[in-house]
Amino acid sequence: MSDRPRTDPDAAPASAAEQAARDAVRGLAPPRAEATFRARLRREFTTGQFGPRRAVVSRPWWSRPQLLAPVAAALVAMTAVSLNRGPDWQLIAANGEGQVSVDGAVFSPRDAALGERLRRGGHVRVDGAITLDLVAPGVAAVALAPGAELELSSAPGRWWARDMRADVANGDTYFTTGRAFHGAHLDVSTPEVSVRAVGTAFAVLRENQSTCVCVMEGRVRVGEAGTAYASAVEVPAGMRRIVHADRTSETQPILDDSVHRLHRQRDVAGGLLGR
Amino acid sequence: MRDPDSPSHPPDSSVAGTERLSPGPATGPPPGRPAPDRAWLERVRAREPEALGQFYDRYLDLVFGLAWRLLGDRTLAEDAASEVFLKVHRAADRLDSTRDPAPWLATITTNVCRDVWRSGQYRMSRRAADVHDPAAAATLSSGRNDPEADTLASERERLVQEALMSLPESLRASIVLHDYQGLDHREVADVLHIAHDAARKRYSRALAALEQLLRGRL
Repeated sequence: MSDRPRTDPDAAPASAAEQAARDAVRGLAPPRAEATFRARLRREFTTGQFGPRRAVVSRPWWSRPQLLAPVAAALVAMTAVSLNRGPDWQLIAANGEGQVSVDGAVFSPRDAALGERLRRGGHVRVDGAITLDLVAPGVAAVALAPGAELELSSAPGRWWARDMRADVANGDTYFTTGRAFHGAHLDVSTPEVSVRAVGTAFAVLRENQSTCVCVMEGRVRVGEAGTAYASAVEVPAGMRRIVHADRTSETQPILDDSVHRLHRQRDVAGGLLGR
Repeated sequence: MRDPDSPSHPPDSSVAGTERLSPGPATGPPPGRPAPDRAWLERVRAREPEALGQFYDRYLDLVFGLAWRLLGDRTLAEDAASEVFLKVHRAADRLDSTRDPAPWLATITTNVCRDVWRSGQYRMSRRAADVHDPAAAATLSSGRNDPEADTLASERERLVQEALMSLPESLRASIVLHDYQGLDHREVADVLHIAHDAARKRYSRALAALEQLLRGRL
């Protein structure tokens, strides 16, 4: 107990019971440290040579500013990366008979594990008479016709890493972008062409020695593989551009079948794309 | 607000050139305790072993008693007192020789106890608080040659300390600093780094909570 003054002009009036509690605290005897402890600490204090101390009175690691700052920065970065992550691909339809290979693992179209495996994209090959419809909600839809093979990236991030890639090795692939795709871009490449789309619906039909890019809606720049997009040809809606392996190319009206397939994709995925 | 890890003596607010050593108008040297000698505190600043020994003898009970009341555990109070005197030794050259070091020591002790409260060992020790520790009880005896009175006093001490330890740490600090340590609300506000009004309100809440805990037990 201290012998310091107990009169305090600020003290609020207390009830009798509170005054009794206060008096009980004021009446506490001063605990005294044990003689051995007193002697040891006195020696340490007067010589300045303090022995090893238990870590109990050191600040916990999470309250140390020098550690807290990097930890907080890491947490912010992890949160930002997590929030930036675009939506996963969802398998919304897998019709027909055959099998689907994802990164070498083979699935039947009705296998529940197929959708799980496709969430972040991968190398996808459709064997047999299967049509595969994938959608990244709000962002993009991709449909793979029988025989298609492509490497599909994950959907674009929300604020940065706003690019999405698809490398089509074979077959017919249909792309439709959604409302949340705004500001992102989709790059599709085949052995013959590089395609850059900014908000549109188009098909990439890869056949032996040629690629046909059919644009139903929006604008698509089509250039030869490995060339800059600035030198690419802009293909308007309702047209298709065919690029051959010998680097010859031509532009023609879009095929009815492509329009039909893109309309079908919109019917299947339009609700999830916000279109 | 002072950095709890940098126990430099707070700036002087007393009358310059006098032997009045306390920081505020209501915090003069306590009655019965002579004001610390300025020359002596200068020797403490210089870390002269003899002056350090006198300083330690004078203030150990203040530091240890406050730590014990805040932590409710003798071992933790020893650890806290060791830490306080280590900090004081390191910061001795920043000691303000014109002021009573007691409030400064109370601030360092409270800050060290705060660190202890945050530690995992404290939470573990709270499960087995040693208010029943015979050694602790012995340190609380009155010194009277009256075993019955000592037993009653010891039991009362135990009840009050248990009630204090049941309070949230911020309320416990408020009531221990004010009623056990004898600081006024302005000094408590300085120690706890809160506003004067907040210190008063916190004390009122603490007292009401303590009264509830002790009701019918004393």
